[in-house]
Amino acid sequence: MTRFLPWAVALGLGAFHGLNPAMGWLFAVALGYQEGRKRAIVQAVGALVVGHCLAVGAAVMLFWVAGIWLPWHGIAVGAAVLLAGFGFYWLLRARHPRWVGMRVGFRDLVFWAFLMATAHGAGLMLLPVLGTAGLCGQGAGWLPLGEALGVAVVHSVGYWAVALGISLFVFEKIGLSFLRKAWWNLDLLWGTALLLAAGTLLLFPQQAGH
Amino acid sequence: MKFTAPDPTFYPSARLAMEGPREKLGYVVALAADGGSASGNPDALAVIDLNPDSPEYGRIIHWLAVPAIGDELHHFGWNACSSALCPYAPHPHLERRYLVIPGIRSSRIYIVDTKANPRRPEIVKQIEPEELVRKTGYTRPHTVHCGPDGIYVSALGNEKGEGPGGIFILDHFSFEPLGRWEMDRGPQVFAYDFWWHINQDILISSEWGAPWMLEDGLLPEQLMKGAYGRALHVWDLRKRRHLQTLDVGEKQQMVLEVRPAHDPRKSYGFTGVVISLEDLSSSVWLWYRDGDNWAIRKIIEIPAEPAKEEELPPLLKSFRAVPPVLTDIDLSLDDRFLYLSCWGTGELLQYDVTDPFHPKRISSLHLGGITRREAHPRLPQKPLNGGCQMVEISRDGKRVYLTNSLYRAWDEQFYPEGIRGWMALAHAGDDGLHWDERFLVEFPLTHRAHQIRLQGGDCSTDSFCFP
Repeated sequence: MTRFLPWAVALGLGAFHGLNPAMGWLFAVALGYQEGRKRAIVQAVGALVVGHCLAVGAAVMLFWVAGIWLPWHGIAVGAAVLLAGFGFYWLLRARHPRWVGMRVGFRDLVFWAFLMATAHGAGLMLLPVLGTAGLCGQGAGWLPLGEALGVAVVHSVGYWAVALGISLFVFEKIGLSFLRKAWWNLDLLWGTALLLAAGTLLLFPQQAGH
Repeated sequence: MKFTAPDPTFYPSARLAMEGPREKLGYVVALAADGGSASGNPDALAVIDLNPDSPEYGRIIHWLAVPAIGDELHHFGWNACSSALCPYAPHPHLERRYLVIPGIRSSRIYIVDTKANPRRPEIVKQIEPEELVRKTGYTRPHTVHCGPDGIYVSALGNEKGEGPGGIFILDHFSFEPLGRWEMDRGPQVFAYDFWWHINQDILISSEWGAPWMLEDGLLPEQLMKGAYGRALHVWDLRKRRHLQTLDVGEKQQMVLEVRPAHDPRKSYGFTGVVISLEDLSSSVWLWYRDGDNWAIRKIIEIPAEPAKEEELPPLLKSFRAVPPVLTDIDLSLDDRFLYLSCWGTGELLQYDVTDPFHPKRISSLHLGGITRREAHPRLPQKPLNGGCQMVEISRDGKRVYLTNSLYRAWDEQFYPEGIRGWMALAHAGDDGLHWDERFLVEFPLTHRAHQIRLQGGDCSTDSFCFP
């Protein structure tokens, strides 16, 4: 059972990211309304998942490369510091940057999703998962690259399914008034999740040790 | 900060905003009639009770005097609005809470908090003119628009009172001026109002004149030369670059309010031109997308009205006519009705602009006016001066609020006896416009009323990223 746990967590975190309107589904809904067709949503989510996957994949690759030279403990502390930094930033953030506008093509959406995911520390959130995947996977030795990238892909599948599901549901079934009522402050939840991930790394670094 | 839902006054679309609750309070800036210098009277923010069931309906219930004198409070706006739901920069848990109130003469900006007690708002921050100039290079801040990524403010000029004017950004949280907005202003020099087609990454700005052409009154020799603004500018909102100039012609002077369609899928909007040098008429122009470019054309012309020389102020005597002086326009949230206020003749006009190329005149009312002095039904014996000027529509489109002062130095030229400030309310029904007989707010003689903002948003505040 524990063998599948990291994959389940990666998928779950993907779903959590997909749930966050700031990660893309809201954008897809707006584009759907602007063009007046469902196809625009499917296309937009397709582009967004590519950007998201690239951002998460990049974080995973950095982590994996660092693991070749650095002991796991060092990476865990470094990642925890980064995660806490992002977490506090999103809890106490001071700026509202603007990256794109509303007339966006495939490349813009990939770029936007990449930046949003990176700025929100989406990839970093996966690091504790990678730690445990390393433990549960091969036992001794550093986590295989294929498995690390697999986590990013599984994560992105979760993201895609939820983002597409919500945007189509809002567009076709419940309509825009949904946005007025059920819009949790995911920035708070997000910041908290980042801090939790940091805490996990600091408290249980030995779990992933060799 | 609310956790479970966005600010209830944020609406994804204009259609949903129209279904929102009726406004209970209005905020109106009041400027000291003597400019503050002689009397030491500061300008103020007046809070007006707009609840028809309240015993204080149509009365000033609070007077927030600002600490400095000589600011000339003019236009103002909310820190955040429905644009916070825009998907590329969603910040749904901002709050529509602070009024950002610039002094157009002093270049000081007040941040007023309306949350703790909406009936008694308080000043919580002041941006001094020196800081504004240092960080943006601009002075004479004018229009305030709540953007998805920050607060956009237009400014008429630089420190010397010359062009170029432009736009700067205030931070959403700290209200610090972040700097000049334009990356490439092209040929643009004059500034005044601006707004955007938010889903098309297009910003439209208009032209009044440089501060030196405005602050000592309308300069007739400059007007006759056609030196005031006569164009709209189209900008790439995303790249912050000038794209196109839409010139309304050398005989047209002063292009003021810009009102793009609220539906983000529509690519047109309306602007008012104050005066034509040919026949003193005012006009409304429609800008619209034309292939890859933008175009502009005149859709409404309002003629001047003949008048006797002795009835006219010195500025107008030789013309023997009252120019309409179209100074403000406002578009209902369903993009159906356009309201025009003619400050010279005191007329409020209602047009159906469902087909923007072929507007239909629906109804009109008068109040004040240079020669007409039309009285209000609440005080039928009392002639009013000033004329219908700043106009603001309720979100549901059923109520149209008006005030009567334009700009202090210009007030004296058109109404030399001194404007007595009032605010009135017209109901817009199926049978056109009619005055609310209970609603006539008379301002103290020391102060004049200018822009109106309605609690929870109005028709010239929010922009929507969803149709």
